Amino acid sequence: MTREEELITRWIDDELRDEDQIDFKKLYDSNPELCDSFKDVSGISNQVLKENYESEKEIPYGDFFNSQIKKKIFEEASSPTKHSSLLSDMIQWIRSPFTWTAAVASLCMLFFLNVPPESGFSGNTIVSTYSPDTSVSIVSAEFNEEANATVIVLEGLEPVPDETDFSGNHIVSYDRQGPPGFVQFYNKNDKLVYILETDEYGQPNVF
Amino acid sequence: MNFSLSDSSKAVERLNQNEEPQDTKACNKERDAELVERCQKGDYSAFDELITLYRGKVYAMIYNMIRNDADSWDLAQDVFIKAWKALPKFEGRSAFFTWLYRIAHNVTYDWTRKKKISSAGEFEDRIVNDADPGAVAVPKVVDSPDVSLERKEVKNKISEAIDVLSSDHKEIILLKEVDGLSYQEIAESVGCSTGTVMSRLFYARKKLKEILGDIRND
Repeated sequence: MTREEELITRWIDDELRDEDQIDFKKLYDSNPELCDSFKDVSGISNQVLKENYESEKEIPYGDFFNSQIKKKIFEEASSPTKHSSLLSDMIQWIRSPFTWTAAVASLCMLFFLNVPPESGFSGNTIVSTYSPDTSVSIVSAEFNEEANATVIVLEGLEPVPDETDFSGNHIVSYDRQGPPGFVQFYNKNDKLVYILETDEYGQPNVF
Repeated sequence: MNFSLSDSSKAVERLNQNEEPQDTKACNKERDAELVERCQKGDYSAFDELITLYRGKVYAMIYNMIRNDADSWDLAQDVFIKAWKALPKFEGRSAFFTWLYRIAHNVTYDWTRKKKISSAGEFEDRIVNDADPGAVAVPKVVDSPDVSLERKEVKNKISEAIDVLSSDHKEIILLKEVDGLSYQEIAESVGCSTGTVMSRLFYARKKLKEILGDIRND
């Protein structure tokens, strides 16, 4: 970068130092068109940038954002072992001849006992809960073995119309590609069952 | 088309009006220092206050670079989690927000690297060459009814040009023009010298000037 370029840049950004003033005056007097043309461009690009970019943008679900950070920080802090020691322990464990013997023995036992491999939940599950609407509270959230479903009991919701049919909509996966608050729920046949979206007031809508 | 010096001067004046006054900056620095001190003593509520104060700025900074809501939301979370972990080592030699911007800068760059988004491309010449003379109207009379539309088209071209700046140049011009940071603050935020900041600003403006010159000549 030449001294001339530095002076023009400093002048545009109002960052000329005392020692630059004389040099810049000489430069401007010798070539005012050049200096002004840069200032022109700077003014236009500044307008464009101001129109298309924001220095501050309201984050969607601000309270949820803060609560999730807190949750992650405290989860990591409460983790009993650090990653490095956990990794070295795992390597030692895999290297141990006892591990291999135990693994073979377990496989044999599974084969002879014919235990079907179970997937999914095996007991009560406590999930993290959050309600963006303060008038709605979460009474309980747990896995119900009898129903083979996670049951979330909410208090403060508007009555659900009788014609709403929820039968057979067993959600097994979801996809949150897209803007925040937009979630697609799928059943076991990978069929789209619900779309959860938030409106302009931040309220959830289910389709 | 003539964008007179007075136009740009007005724009600069408007920008200056939007910038934070120096005494407010000093006040914020003092407030942040106090909150940071409480954080370093283990007071999480102080950190929660810092998150609330800066989440909008961090989110906007990341969003301006990657233009995706969901990813910006997630990355902004990572920034604050990393900040909490690094706070015990923060010595207050720079302002808290420039330190936080530095973390946001690193998180965003790591993410783009992982996503294999190429940041090597500088200005693409096709932007200049593809400028359709018919599409870019040149007003001959300042008070023409088409002025606003034509001006919009020129702005669109400039906007496209800004979008194809390399990440390094785009970030610096955004921090300068949108966030209103000084050279020193930008240097601290992105981890380079003030000379590099000026050089990148000059380069970006030079390219924009070339594009604008081409539009005017068409």
